Amino acid sequence: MNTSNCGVCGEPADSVHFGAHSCRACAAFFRRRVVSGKLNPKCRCAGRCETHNQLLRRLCPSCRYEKCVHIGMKTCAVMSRVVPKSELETSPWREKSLLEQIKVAYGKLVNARNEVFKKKTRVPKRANYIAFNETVSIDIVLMKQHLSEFFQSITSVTEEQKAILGANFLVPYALVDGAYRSQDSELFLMVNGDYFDRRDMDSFYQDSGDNDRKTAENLKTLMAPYFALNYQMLRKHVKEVHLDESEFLFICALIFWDFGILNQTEECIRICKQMRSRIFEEFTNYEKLKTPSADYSMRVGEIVMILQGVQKAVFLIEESRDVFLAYGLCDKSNILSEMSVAK
Amino acid sequence: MRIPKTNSKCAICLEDGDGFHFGAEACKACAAFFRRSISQKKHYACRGNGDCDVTINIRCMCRSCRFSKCLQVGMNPMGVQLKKESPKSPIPDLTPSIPTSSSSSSNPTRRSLLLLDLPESFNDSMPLLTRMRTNWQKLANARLVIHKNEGQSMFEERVSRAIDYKECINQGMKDVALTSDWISWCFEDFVKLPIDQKSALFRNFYTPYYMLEGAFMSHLNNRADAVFFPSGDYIDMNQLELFYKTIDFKQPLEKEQIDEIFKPSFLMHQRILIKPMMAENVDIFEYFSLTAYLLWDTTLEETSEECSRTGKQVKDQVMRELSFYMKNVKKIEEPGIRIAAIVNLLPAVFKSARRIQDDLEITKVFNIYKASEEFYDMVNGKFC
Repeated sequence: MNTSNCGVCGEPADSVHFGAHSCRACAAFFRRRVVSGKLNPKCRCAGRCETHNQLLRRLCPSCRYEKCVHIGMKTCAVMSRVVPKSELETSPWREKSLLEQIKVAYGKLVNARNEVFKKKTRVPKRANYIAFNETVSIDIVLMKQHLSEFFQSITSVTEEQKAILGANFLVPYALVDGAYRSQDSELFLMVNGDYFDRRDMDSFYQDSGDNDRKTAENLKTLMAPYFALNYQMLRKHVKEVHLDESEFLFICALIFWDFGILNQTEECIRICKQMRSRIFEEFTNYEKLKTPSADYSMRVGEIVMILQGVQKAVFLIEESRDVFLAYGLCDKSNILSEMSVAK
Repeated sequence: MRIPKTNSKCAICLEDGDGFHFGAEACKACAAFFRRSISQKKHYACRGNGDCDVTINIRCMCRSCRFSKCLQVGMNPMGVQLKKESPKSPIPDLTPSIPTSSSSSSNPTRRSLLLLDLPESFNDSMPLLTRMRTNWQKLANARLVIHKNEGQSMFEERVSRAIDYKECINQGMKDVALTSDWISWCFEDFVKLPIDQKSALFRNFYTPYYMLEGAFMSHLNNRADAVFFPSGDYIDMNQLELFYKTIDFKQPLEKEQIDEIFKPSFLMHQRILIKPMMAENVDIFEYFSLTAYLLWDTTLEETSEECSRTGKQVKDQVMRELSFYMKNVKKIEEPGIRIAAIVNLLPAVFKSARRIQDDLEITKVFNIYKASEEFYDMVNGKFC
């Protein structure tokens, strides 16, 4: 969906007006209609007149208005009085949509990753578990810096609550991030460009140096099943649904603004619910515009269901960490050690 | 001049409509045509290009295009089968038989809102959800019999009370069979599955469903501080010592100690499931949808390709019916938003189920008290 064009007539859109991308002409049209309060003559055709260019948009004002509403313009955003500039700066309809803001933050994460892992010049190769853990530990720092911090910055709760939300976010995010990146491949694609094959755990649990061969063997026996399960519960589902970048980011937002976390205050739960409602609204509008045919709400439901798989995959990580601890296998910090959130 | 029956128009032939049939606005003629086509398993072939006009006077000219149009506007074959099975059974009033607790008598509107009946004309547009509703009544009746108090007549109205641990387990064991019966009544596709697939799905389903149902009952009874059981009995979170009194602890425990050990889990359940359900004001059809999503889990190791495919079909069907329900019964302009909020409750169901399983594990490991092996297996999905 090209968001720099007017959603009504297709002309270049200069910005968001009244809640939707549109050109100045259509925005002015919308404002005039709302302010005057007069009802235009009804459409003489079937109500589906085309408005997609500069000339056609003038032919049927009724359909043009309908289109304005359809793409998301809100009548409440039209003011019937002149507003002082200070108030204008903070009006909600002036704010960029949540998705746009999240995209910017995610873009920064992608750039940071490209730089740190030198992805432009790197040749992808098969990785083993040690390389995997190292990559993940580095990536966690980047994720915290660019994504967690961003979410925290736009959530109006105490510092303590922000920390709780941030801690709760990391593992599920990492899981769905990997699933999304790998959704077009049978292999698991790592953030630095390397890869491994869950069906070939022998290669994955091979030591490159002169480390204890036994350790690798033990790890493989214990951990290999979890990779298979992770694929079953989460990756497969993501593959089938096939997310685009916006849908992926919507899910990430829902993961961050979770409810029912340990030590989350009532206030925080309330704020998260508010943010989730906004996300649901933007998400539904996004899907509606993406596929204007009837069943976009099915896709919305389908995608939100991925969170079920994410939750199960998180349980798997917790379980595997317990197994780790039980067998006294404490290797270098990896994603499992981030599970410092006590039960 | 013909006086139009309703404001709607048939989406297929543009005649005056007769309301919803099989999921789309249609006139009686097109509805009947669709029903005949499905039940007589007709196959049509267009003699033209597959784009014949279908309007009032010429709708009979090309049956193939008329049928295609029926499907196009959203008619669903599933609704046809159901109508044949139970032609005239009205949906009985559910309210009296559902176990009540004393505090809910002050909220009759809430309960009736949640347990609403659909106008009959919607039945064939929501076949699966309607079926679940009808069978839930059967389930409620069966539970009355199974869970009747000692010495109480079957016809005497059951009084809910705070039960203890032993009774809870007892009831739980009895209820498994009833729940599996209900599932079989609701889902033909489930019955048709090979036995190992059935077991795999049900094992994975039971404990999460138990949490979902409990939370829904708490919501129905408007008691965020109590966990309700299928029998109508409950655990009061502020009086946990009543629940745990019959346990043979290694050391006798004071109320404060009991609260310290056990209350956090109950509070978590309240926080992540009961309160959100109350905040969203989940109604019975939305609850059924969640049930279906829990049952037809296509991410399990043991499910066959066939089972996964069936599962996806059923879930799609439920989603479609839910969407229809939101738009046309609840009159929600933008159903996507509410659907997302409802589906968003599912991870919380798993968290809650997981918590119970972990707690039970801890009590076993630390030898706090002894639970029967049977119960332990059931909670962990190791039965059937």
